[in-house]
Formats: sequence, structure tokens, C-alpha cells
Amino acid sequence: MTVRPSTSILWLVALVAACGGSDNLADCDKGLGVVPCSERTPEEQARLALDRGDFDKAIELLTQLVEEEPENYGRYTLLAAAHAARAEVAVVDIAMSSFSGGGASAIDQVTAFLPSPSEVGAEAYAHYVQDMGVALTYLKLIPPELRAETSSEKYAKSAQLQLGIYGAAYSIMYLNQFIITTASGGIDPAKLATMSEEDALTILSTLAEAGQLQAAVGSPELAAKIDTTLTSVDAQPGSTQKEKLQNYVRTTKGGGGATSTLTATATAIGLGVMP
Amino acid sequence: MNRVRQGAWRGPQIVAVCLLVVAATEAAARKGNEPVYSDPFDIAGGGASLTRASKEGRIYANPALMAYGGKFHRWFGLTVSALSTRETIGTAQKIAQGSSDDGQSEEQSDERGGEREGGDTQEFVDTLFESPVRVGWGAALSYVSANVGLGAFSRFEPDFRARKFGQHGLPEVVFTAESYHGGALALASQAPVRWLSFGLTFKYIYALEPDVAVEVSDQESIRGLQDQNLTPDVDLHYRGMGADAGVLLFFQGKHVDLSLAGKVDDGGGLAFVEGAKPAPKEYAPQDFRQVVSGGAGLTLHSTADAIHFAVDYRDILNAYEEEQFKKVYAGTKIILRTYLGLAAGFYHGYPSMGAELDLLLLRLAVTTYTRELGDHPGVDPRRIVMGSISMGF
Repeated sequence: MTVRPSTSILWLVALVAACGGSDNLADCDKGLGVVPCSERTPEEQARLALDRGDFDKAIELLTQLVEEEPENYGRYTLLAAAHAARAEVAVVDIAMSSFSGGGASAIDQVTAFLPSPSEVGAEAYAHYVQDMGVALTYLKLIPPELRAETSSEKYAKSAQLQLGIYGAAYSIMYLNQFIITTASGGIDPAKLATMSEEDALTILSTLAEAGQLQAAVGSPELAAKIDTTLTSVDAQPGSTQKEKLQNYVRTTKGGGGATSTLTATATAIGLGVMP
Repeated sequence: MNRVRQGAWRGPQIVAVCLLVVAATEAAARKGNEPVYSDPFDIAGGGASLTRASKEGRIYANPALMAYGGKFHRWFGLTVSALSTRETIGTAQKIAQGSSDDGQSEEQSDERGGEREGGDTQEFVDTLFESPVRVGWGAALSYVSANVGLGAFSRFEPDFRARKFGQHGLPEVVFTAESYHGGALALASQAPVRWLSFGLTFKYIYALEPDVAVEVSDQESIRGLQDQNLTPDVDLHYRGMGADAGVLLFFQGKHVDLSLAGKVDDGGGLAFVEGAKPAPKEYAPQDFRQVVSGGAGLTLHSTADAIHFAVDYRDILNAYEEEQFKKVYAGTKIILRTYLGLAAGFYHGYPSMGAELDLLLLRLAVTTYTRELGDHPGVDPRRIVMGSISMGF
């Protein structure tokens, strides 16, 4: 037997062709099926779904995992992140943002990274707000001592940071439901009248909690600006939180300067402002 | 914000970075069942090197291979290699240069209206979101004869990836690295019969396996990672001594050879102790576990050409508890007219291929392969291209 160069190269070409491109032989989805495939764990599948942007699939898988092992709290933070991603909250941009700018309020800056009711429609926006609420719920299901700053759990800091970011996002998105029209994107005082006292309490308490968390583990600059906003709301005339918040919106909607948070918010996201 | 400049491998800076990071616990760039050093052309052939390895690769792949060959002297020379992930060669070059631009930290406006901090780190992180970056180099100075091999090797492969959904949900940058350096003494014997050989390799290894995750909001730590310089401080490395043992059954015919091999890597395990300088715990290497492997090879050859088929099954006793696709290494090497080598195979279940040009005193090789850092196919792959140059005789 002799080995000719042409024969050798033929062998090599055949082998390369048999490789079937760049896929893994043992990949259960893309493999050739000639070797036993290596099945990914549900958690790995969920992570891949997140990376691909298939948030419905990721939420389905993670919810199932949480139900199967409710005491594995490390998964709660990932599930919360999946809900926030489905709500189109740009967490990466928020996390990488500087909140030290002098002019715009931190709330304006955060709002710039949130979806707009006029862009996605009222129904979708309501789902987004709901998703953010679910994200917060899962994070709060983690026992406080396990997500405290003093906790040794690896997910503790992430849980605290997420609570701070999602809390701020949720409260602003919740508020925007009552002030931004989906048709024009402008601020509508008539919608503001539909806000209930319970809604106002939810918005303000969530924002206050987010501010405290930001002060502790997040951005002190953002915390300070949240505190300024809450102080401004509290200084408004009114006997209930709803009236104070409504007056705050009315006061700031047409004015300029540092106190016109919501006007600046609307401008920042490219929306018109009611005359 | 003060910028952290060159030298993340200097002790104080490493400590500073690690104070701000947490250990990454997912798929990591840690040693598994493979040898601590592999020749690039052997990787091109699917990493199946128990029954046939490149000249200096024999010391680490299977010392029993040294006993076979025409002359007493096999090789004396130096091999230097460099690697990068295919998609991010440009970024890899920047990292290899140890720079992240000399300009000041810039504020950049995001298209959605907010301000994002740190222009250079932002660009770096955005690149990592697109694709992970792995860079690295290797070097091996070796003397190999029929009975004795002496080698010194150095291998450093830092790996950066960013995920929008990190281990616990928030975006993060993960830095891992394999930093192995050391020396080896190999002995081989063909007695008492010609078709059987034994070999032993004694190794002294310096190792670090950094494995840290940094939140993307932590600009300073990211700059610290970005400014890695590729001259690791040996004093920070953990140290350990170990031994490999190999056996080869080689049945030679006029045109067909059959070989069977067995090997124990790091017999009894290889435990590391701290180096001269204390390194952060996130940088500590895991002890090497004892790995038992077997391989088979078939060679068809003439006087000038040869085609070699090989398959290795590593870690038969499942010390590293890896999936099958990470245990089977298979491939083909073709040697044409003794100066041109072509290789292809399956490495970690992915196709690998490469070529080698042997010009007497100079050897050039290029290899492309995919390494899976995750536990299952497609979880965390790195598509790598590697080039090497060898000088020796």
C-alpha cells in the first residue's frame, strides 16, 4: 500500500466535510445525531433564551425552576431580570449611566431608558408595568436577611441593586400610565384625574424605597435626586398623596427649570408637551 | 475617577480589583482533562495526541512517544504561539498591547438620551456583549531525545466576556484566565521489547486561574481588567509538582502502523500551594486531578507521506465529571513529503483544522478550533485561531 498526496488530501477534505460546518457534534439541536447529544440543563436553556432575547421562553423555564425549588433564591434574581427585560427596561444603559449630571434630574435620565406608552401602545405598556411589578415581587420574595447588605449570599448585592433600579423604573412607568397619552405622547391632565389614592401610594412608596436602596448600594446621585423629587411632591398642596402627586404633575408640566421633572422626562423621550 | 493603568498582574492592583468583584461561578476557563500544554498542530488534529504528538508536544502529551523515531535526537528548539477568538481579533490586539487608549475617561451620550460613563470602558463592554474575547500566548523551549526530554513552557490565556444577564441577573463582565508555566523532565524507555514503550514526565508548575465577575457599572474595575498586561508575575502564581506516566504499544508494518496508548496525568493529583506573594482567592487554581486516558491510532504511510488517524478518550474514571463530548478527541494528521502537515479533527465536539509547514530550522503552523468553556455544547464556546512559529532542529 502506498499513500499518495491526493489520497491523503481526499481523506482530509472528507473529514472536514463530515464536520458539517461549525456546529458541535453533540449539540442536541444542531448536532449530526451520530453521537449521543449532550442536553443542556433547564437553567442553561433559560440563559441561552435570555441571550437570544426570547424572554417568554426564559420566563417560562425560570418560573418552572423556581416552582420546583422555591428555596433556591439565586434564581429569583435571574427571573426578575427576565421580567424587566421583557418590559424593555434598558438595564444595561441604566447600570452604565452617570447620574452626576447637573441639569437633568436623575428620574429624567432613568425615564430615557424606559419604554414609552406612545411607542408601544396602552395594552402593551400595561403588560410592561405588570412585568416590572412581577420582577419586584420575586425580588421581595427573597427573605430580607438573605438579600441584606450583610448577607453572604452571592446574589444579595444583585438583588439589592435590582430592587433599586426596578423600583425606580416601576414607579415612573406606573406614573406615566396616568399622564402620557398613547395617541400623541403628550401629557393629558384628564388622565391624571383617574389616578387613585392607592396608585399614588404605590408610586411614591416604591420610589422612596428605590431611593433608599440606591443610597445604600446603587448610585448616591440618583438617590439624592429621588429624594429631591419626593420632597417636592410632599411640599405640594393637598390632603392626600394623590392630590399632592397630581398637583406636582400639574405644577411641573408646563414650566421649565430643574423642578419640571415630568416635562423634561417627556422631552427627553421625544414626546410632545401639552400646551 | 483615577485611572488604573498598566499591570493588573501586579499584586496591589489585583487586590484592588478583587475587592470590587465577586467570584464567577459559572462556566470558567479552568483546566479540565487535557494536558497543561498542547502543541498547536496537535490541537488542529482534534487534540488526539496520545498516540502521535508533535516533537516537543510529546513531553506533555505522552512521554512514551519519545522512544519512537529514527534518530536518538528528536528536537531542540523553541515554539511560540499566539491565539485569539476569531470574531474579535481587533479587540484582542488591543488587549495584547495592554492598552485601553491613553485618553481621558469620556462622557458619551447614549442614543436614547441618557449619559453613559467612561467612553473607553463602554466601548470595551459593548464589544464584549457582541462576542467574548480570548487572547493568549504560549511558548515551549524543549530538548527531546529518544530517552530524555527537557522542557520549559509558558501559557497564558485571558478570557473576557460580558453578559447582559449575568450570574444573578444584572449585566456583568467576567474575566477568567489560564496561566500555567513551568518545567518538565521526561524519561522514556523502549525496553524490554521494541513494540512497547514507557515514559514518565515530572512537572513543576506555576498556576493561576483568575475567575472574577465585575458589574458593568464598576468602571474602575473594568479598566483594571482592560489594562491587563501579558507578563504575569510568577511570584503570584501558586506552585505544584506532579508526574505523568504513559505507555505505548506500537505495532509497525511496512505501510501500516497501529498504536495503542494509555496515560495517567497528574498521578495521585497535583496540589498547589501559595506562591511567594499572596494572590487573591479568586485567582487560586484548582488542584489538578488524576486523569486516566486511553487512545488508539492508525497510520498509513510511505517513505515520505503519512496519514494518521487517532482517537483519545480522556478521563476514563471521570475525575473532572465532564460530558462525553469533552472527553473524546479525534482527528487526522497528514504529512506530505515530510515538510507539509495538514490536520483536521473534532475538538470538544467542534471541528478543528490546521496546517504546518516544516522548513528544516523553521516551522510555521496555523490552527483553528473551538473550545467549549461551558458544560454543554453551545453554552460558552470560543472560536479560536492560533498561529505558531518554531525554531529548532
